[in-house]
Amino acid sequence: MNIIETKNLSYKYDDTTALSDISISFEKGKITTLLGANGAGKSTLFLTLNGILKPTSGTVQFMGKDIGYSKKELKLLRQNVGIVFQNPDDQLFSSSVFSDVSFGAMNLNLPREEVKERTYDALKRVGMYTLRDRPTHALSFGQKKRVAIAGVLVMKPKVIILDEPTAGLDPMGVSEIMHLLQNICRNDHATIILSTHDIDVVPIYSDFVHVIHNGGLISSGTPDEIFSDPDLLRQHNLRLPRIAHLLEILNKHDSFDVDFSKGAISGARQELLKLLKR
Amino acid sequence: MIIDKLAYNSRLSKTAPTEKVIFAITSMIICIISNSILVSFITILAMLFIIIHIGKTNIKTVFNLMTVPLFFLIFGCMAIIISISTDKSEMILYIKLGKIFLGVTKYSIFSVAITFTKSLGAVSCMYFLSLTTPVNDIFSLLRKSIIPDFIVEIAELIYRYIFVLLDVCEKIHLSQDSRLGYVNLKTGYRSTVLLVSNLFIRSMNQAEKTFTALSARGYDGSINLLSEKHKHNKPFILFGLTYIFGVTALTVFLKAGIK
Repeated sequence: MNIIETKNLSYKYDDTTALSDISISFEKGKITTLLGANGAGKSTLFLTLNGILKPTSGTVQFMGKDIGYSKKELKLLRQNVGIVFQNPDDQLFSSSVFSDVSFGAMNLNLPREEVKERTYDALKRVGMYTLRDRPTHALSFGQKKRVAIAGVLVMKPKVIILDEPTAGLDPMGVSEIMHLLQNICRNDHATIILSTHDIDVVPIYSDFVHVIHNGGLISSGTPDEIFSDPDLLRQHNLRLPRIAHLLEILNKHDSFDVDFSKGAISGARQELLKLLKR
Repeated sequence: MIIDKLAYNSRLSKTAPTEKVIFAITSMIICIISNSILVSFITILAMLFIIIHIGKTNIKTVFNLMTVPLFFLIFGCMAIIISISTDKSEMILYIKLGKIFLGVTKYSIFSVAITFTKSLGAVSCMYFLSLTTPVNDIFSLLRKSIIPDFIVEIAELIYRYIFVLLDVCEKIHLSQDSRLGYVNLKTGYRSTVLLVSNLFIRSMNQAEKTFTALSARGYDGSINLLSEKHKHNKPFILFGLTYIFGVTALTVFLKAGIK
């Protein structure tokens, strides 16, 4: 079932077309990755999904219904569809970690006790509970990113959108954030939508992939399906995961019978073991 | 921005801000009203005692901070201590300039002494507040006060984004410097102009991005935040109350004595 989808959506900034006639859907309870070169329209698409930008034409549907743009409808939508922005400094506006995270929950007009509980819970989930009374400006980039995620988790959204959650993080930070997202997806049955340029993590964590280019949808499918057509990816300034690329070379140049759509280590290992045992 | 870190590291940072603000302001008012060198001295010593002994702030840092107002006070007091008169009878030291005398009188020495200690006393009360109370706590207190919410919100946003823009400023400066942007005075001026104008544009962009991010989290015109409850610090309250009663009693006694 699709929790959120767009129908023939177009968006124009003044004269430039950012999104053109894009129909894209995101399945409930899955991690879906949006791949696309810089300027492909990923961030713009995200902003339309949560009603920040109103499409020039076409519609956005949340749980099967067109979203409305009245104040009340937007509030309800934003409670259900949270966005974690790429630069945490854009999002964290309070100088106290605890207060900043409480913001989203306070906007839901919940009783104070519940806000407090949710804030503590969100901070614990992202591993920032012990740093809750640090000033925001004293945190590292990775820590700020976690607080930004907590700030969205606190609203208990059904869909969490993350604009390049792995950008600027060290390798350890990347796998921690991705594990966290996987946990949120599994335990809270939340739908995760993210964009990334870190193609190597895509086959490990994603259930589905959409490739967009110049504001249009190029292809959709599971990571295996997407990576089985490397030429299409290359045409749009993208590439295979390194491991899949190795398998592709073994297949095309060295004529080994391997399936190069396996971008994760586990899949590639199976392929290579099959080859060695033959 | 070291002063900000000092407050977070103070042992008193977790104490309820209301108590600290009431203590600091009451002490300051008593210090000013009493108009007495003795009370001012007691105020200064008490504040230093709390900051250094109870708050465990590094003694050297506190004295370094104290030199800042001291510098201004010394220059300010120099203007007060010298009086101009045509009558030299009350002057202890003087120089003659035509028909007028520039000099120091007994009274001017006394008034300088009182102004000096009183100002330093009041400043130390404010230092107590800023060295033990994180800015967040002040904001959460202001929220509960009669000050309109939007003013507190603006103050809080400004405070937060000072650090963000300071960071941007440092990065721009570094990138200019690494391309010889400050190699001589002329290019230095030019680079500074570029830095300032760029920073202005950046801050406009930042404001727009922050607004978008706030909207995405359900911002509807007012920023409501929750802050954590603070602990009541019994020894501090006890010390504070004893101190305030003691100093008030002393002030009353001194005033009565003068009459």
